[in-house]
Amino acid sequence: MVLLEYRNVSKSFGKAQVLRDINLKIPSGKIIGLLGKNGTGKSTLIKLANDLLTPNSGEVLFMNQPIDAASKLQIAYLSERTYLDKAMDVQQTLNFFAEFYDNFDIQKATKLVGDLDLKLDTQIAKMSKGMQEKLQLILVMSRKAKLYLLDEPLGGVDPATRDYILDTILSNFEEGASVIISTHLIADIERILDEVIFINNGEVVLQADADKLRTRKHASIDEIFRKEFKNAR
Amino acid sequence: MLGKLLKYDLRYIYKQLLIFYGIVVVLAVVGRLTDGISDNFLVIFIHEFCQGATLGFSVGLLINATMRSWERFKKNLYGDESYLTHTLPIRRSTIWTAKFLASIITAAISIVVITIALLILFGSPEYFDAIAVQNHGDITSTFIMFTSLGLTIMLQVIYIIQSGFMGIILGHRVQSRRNFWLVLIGFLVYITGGIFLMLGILIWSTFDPQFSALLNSATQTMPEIIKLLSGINML
Repeated sequence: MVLLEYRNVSKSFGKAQVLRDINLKIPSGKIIGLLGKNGTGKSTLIKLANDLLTPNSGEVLFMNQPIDAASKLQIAYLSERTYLDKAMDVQQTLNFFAEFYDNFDIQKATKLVGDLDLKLDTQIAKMSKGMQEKLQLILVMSRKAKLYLLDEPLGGVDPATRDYILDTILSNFEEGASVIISTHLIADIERILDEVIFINNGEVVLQADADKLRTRKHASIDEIFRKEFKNAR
Repeated sequence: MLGKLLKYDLRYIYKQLLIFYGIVVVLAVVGRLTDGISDNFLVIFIHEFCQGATLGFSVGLLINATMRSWERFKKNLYGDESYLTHTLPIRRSTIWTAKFLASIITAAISIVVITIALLILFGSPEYFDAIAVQNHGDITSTFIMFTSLGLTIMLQVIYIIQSGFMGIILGHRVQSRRNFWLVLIGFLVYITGGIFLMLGILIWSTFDPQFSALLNSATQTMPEIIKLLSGINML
């Protein structure tokens, strides 16, 4: 089943053309790596899928419908920046999510808070950036969504915590759902990927099954990526 | 969903505003309790201080309500928190409606609190009799005058808050995130709205002699002018 589809999508910011005529279909039940260098349009592609941006042309469809309030209930988004209300504490933030998302599992979130060494009564304003990012990951992975959009979930995190985050993602997303992970830290993430999408200069240059690609090219995804983007401008 | 959004908006705004409400009422109560005691310098000083402070904090309360509303609007819709707000499973129109209603509720409650504080501080039968004399002894007209005055101030506060919202929206549309431009554009929106309103009144009074007579302060009393101003503010 096609969960998310981009049909002839283009996006520009002023004179800068960020995405050019993107055609992409995201199936259900897959972990997909959205890979590209910095500034190639990965975040823009993700933001179009959760209505943070609207395309200049083309359309983005979730389960064959335009993105609306109902589809946002089924899409869980982890932003590359911290977006929590700093006036709240952790418990209040969990309550906030439970109020707005009826598919938010507050018991699971509370357990993950403990597992990741956070405290429920800590004010968001007093948490470090890393702690806030962990909390945001908890909030996203505690949602029983159909699509998880993770924008640079490993950025700014130490290597040991990266493995923990990847394991948390693997063990907590809903069965049958898809996860799109945007990153340039490919070596860390490739072990969990089912599919990869390479994006360069606002265009999709490759979409393939990860295992088949590794077999065909006799190389890791990281090596394929380095070779692909070394040759590309 | 609108109720939930409104709850969180008001919770944010009132976190500080409740403190102002408390201070204003306490100052008014202390000012009233120390009223009429003329043989103790300290008590007189406290009374005078509380009178001035009540009025000062009342203005500060309105400024705080306005600034908190603007801050919440900007952070929620254009700051980092916007990544959360705009991905909530709610329509955009619901988000705007919640912000608009929050500004109305905040302005209305603030005016009520200020009115209560001023009544505590200044209210007395002699004071109301003196006002009633201005209205030829008509108590109903006095009540309407005070209600109109409160309504006028409340509508002005709402209009100022909404102008600020427009300044934030238009400022971000022109890609400027600097507070200076947001404030300037908001101020221009406020002035522009006022100019259009005055032009409308001028045109109306040109064609309607009865309305023109209403605007002539030489023939109208203060209560009637205040009632007229509140009508204009509603527009």
